[in-house]
Amino acid sequence: MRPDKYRATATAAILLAVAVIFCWYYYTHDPSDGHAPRCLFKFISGFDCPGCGSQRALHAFLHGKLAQAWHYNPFIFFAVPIAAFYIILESGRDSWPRLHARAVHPAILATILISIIAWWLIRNI
Amino acid sequence: MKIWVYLDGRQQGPYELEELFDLPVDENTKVWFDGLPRWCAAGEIEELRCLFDSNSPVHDTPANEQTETGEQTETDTVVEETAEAVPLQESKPKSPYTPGRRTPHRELPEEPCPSTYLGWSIALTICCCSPLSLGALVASICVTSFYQGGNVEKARKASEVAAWLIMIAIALGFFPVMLMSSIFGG
Repeated sequence: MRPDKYRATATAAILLAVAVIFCWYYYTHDPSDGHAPRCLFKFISGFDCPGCGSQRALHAFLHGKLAQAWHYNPFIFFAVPIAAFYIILESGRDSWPRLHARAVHPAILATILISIIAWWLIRNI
Repeated sequence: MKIWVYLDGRQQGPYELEELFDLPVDENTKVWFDGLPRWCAAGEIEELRCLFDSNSPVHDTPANEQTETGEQTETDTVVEETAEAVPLQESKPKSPYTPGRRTPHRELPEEPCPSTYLGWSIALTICCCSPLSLGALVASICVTSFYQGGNVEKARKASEVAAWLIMIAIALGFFPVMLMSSIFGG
């Protein structure tokens, strides 16, 4: 395997392992019981950050309560796969230069940036 | 006229002009023939224009090469893909292709793009310190902007900035958060 594909595979494997651990943890623990990590931004400013509610959302999602999960934080259902995609893509960048060049097209990046900011603002209104 | 071309990473030739039609020569391919002071891009050579008239889609202007002819338009922003302002090609529609659609090595700088840490920026925005990770996201975007604009130096600096912001965001977001949840715990 080329070194880049090797790195991409390793990255994907690590991400998968982390995802599994997260899922196991949030399946067995309910973040609402008070011992979950808190949001620094919310603590300081009182406003929601883009990720607020993601733990509860994951917990609800793993227990099948999809509507509730969506209610807590819809954004992460897009952001997490996209982030994972880019992490793996970057780690194996030389293996697929054309895909990489297309995937980091400024229009796509601008869309991501704007949607994050828009989500951040909208959820605090 | 005996023409040498630089293709596939090596010098090839000499060829007659007619033979060049069969080769993957485009405006950026370096060529040389007796009389040229140095290797030039084929697009700069009057006699070779005929190669490009009926050729396939317009290429994007490489921002860091061959601006001596003055016939190539500047890329104002990274998003705009402008056609080379060779008069014969004005009738062609503007190429909808981004640099990545064709082999990147033709339009982009030689060295590979520095790491953008884009995935990390996005992930951190929903995990840790959001204001900082937003800054990291902007830096990540800057990396590709600069790189595709040909400015590798700035791209590298932006990449460093992104990396630093990500690390600081993790440090700032992670430890206080752990601290808080253990202190306040509810």
